[in-house]
Amino acid sequence: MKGILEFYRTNVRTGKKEVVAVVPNTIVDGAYAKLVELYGGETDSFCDRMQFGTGSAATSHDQKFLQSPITPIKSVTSSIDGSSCYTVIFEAYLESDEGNGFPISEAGLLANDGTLIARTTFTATTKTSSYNFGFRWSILVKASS
Amino acid sequence: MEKSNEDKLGKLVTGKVVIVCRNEKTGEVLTMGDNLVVNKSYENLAKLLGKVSAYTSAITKIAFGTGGDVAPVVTDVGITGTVVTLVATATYPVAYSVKFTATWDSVESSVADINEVGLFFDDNTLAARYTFGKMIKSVGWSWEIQWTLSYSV
Repeated sequence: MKGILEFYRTNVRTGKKEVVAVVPNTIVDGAYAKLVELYGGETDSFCDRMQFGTGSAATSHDQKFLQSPITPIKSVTSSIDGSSCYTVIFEAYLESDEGNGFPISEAGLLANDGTLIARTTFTATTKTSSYNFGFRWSILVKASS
Repeated sequence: MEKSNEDKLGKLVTGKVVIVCRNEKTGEVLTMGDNLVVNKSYENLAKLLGKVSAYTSAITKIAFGTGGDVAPVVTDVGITGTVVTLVATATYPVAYSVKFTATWDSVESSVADINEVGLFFDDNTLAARYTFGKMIKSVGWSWEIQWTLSYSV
C-alpha cells in the first residue's frame, strides 16, 4: 500500500485554483492493523477523516499522531479512482472560515476510530480566509497488474 | 540502485492456509502452505478502506472445490466444482494479521477429489485461493481450516 497527497488552494473571490504541493505519504504501521480488520469485518476501521497540523518532523512508519494537529478534523468523501480499481481517493477541505492563521505543513488520514493511517508533510502554507484549502489523498492498495 | 518490490508497490498482504483433519482423538495436519491473494481481493479492500458507496462486505466464507489441477493465478475469480461452503470466523491473535477459521463437520457425507480451497468475501468475491493434492473428506472426520492473512510490519 502506498499513497500520495495533492494539496491545492482555491481563491474564494476569483475561484482560481492552484496546486500547492503533491507529496508522497508514509503509510504508518497502524494502517496495516486496520486493513486486516477490514478483511475481518470490523466496522470502525475504514478511513473517514483528515487532520491537519503545523508540524514538520519527518514522517515515520511508527507514528500514531500528527506532530502539531489543529482543529477542525474534517470528514472525507471517498471514491474509487476511475483509472485504477485498486486506488481509493479521499477528499477533504478547509473552508474559508476554518484553520485561519495556521501555517499548515502536515496532514494525516485517519480511520473512523481515530487511528492514524498515513501522514505527510509539505512546505508550510498559512491558511487565510481568502482561500479554501483542498486535499486529495490517493491510496493505492495494490499496483495494477 | 533498483528499488525493492515493496518500495515500488507498498506492502502487500500474504496468506497461509492450514487444514487439520480430526476425529475424536487425533488431529492431523492434512496440508498447509501459502495461498495466493488474488486481484479481486485488493479491489474489495480499496472499497472497504473508503467504505465507498457504503461497501462493507468482509471475508466470511471458505469453500472447497475440485478444480485444483489448475494452479492459482492473481486473476482468479472463483473456484471450480464447489463441494461445500463454510462460515468463516475472524479473530486477531497476532498483530497485523487476521485469522479465519471454519469447520467442516464430521457428520457430513463423504466427498472425493477435493483439491482446492477459496477464501471469499460475503458478496462471493474471491479473496485468495490455495490448491493441494486430492483428498477425501470422510464421515467421522471433521476438517478445520485456519486461514491467516498478514502484513509484514
